[in-house]
Amino acid sequence: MTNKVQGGQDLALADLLDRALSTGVVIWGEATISLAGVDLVYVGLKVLVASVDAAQRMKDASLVDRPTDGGQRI
Amino acid sequence: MTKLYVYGIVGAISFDDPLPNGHDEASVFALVSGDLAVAVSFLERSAVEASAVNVWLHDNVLSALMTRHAVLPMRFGTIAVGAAQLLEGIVKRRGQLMKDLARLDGKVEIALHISGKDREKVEQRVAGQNADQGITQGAAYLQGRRKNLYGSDKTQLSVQNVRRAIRSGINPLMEEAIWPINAPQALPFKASCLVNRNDVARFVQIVDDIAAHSLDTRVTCTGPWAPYSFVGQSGVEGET
Repeated sequence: MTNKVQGGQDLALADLLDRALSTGVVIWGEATISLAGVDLVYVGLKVLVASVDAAQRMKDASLVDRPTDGGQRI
Repeated sequence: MTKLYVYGIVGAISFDDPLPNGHDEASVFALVSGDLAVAVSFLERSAVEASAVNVWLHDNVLSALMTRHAVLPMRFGTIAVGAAQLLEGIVKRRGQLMKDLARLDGKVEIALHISGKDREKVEQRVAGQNADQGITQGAAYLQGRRKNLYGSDKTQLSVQNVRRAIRSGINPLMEEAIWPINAPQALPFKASCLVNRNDVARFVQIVDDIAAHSLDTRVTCTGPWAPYSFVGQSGVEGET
């Protein structure tokens, strides 16, 4: 259990991805990651996943609901 | 431009023990803000690939910190363009962060899964029935998907019984939980439990004992994880 693989390495990885990519503290409302060479942006409380370019366009158009306080899970 | 990759917020202003290296083999160090510190490492990139290796690395740093300090895990991929931006964000949320650190100190998250052992056989069985009954492929797909999602009635009953037994058994050890109630029939059943680090072995023992008496279900736990699912929560049990 302490090595995180009681249920198998694949299950442990799935659980970690579930948590690390969609929960945890968000200070600025954004966390940038890259998947297959495409930069993605998680925005605020609603997990909007978009390319950086698309997110920037949405921000410019004021379509992105940015959080006023971070540290929330989705 | 050099950036800071942020792993977690720590209720200490120095890290006494050596930590594993961060992304790009960079050293992890503390950036101090009052009586809080942020665990960071320098990063030359604008984003970090969400690969298994990188996500494990993020978690390894948190695991090492967790052994000595209260830690609030950051979401994977959190990057600051500089110390000023990072510290400004910390100062703005200082009250909530301090509350979370106090609430989560010494506690870890465990993921619990309960599923039916017959789940993987369902699709084959449904395919066999379809040939006899002349069911269209679309209907077969939906039937198979439904059975895969919910399992047979027998499986549902077994999972519900095990779920209740486990909940009853681990209840005294759980500080908080995210325990689905709106769609409890979806399989596998998944819950997140916040327990004291010293109670992890007992928690697992209770779960294993109950699982050993249920031949129809598969029960697994993973962890202990940093309390990813519980940061920013109110401190009362959350049932989703």
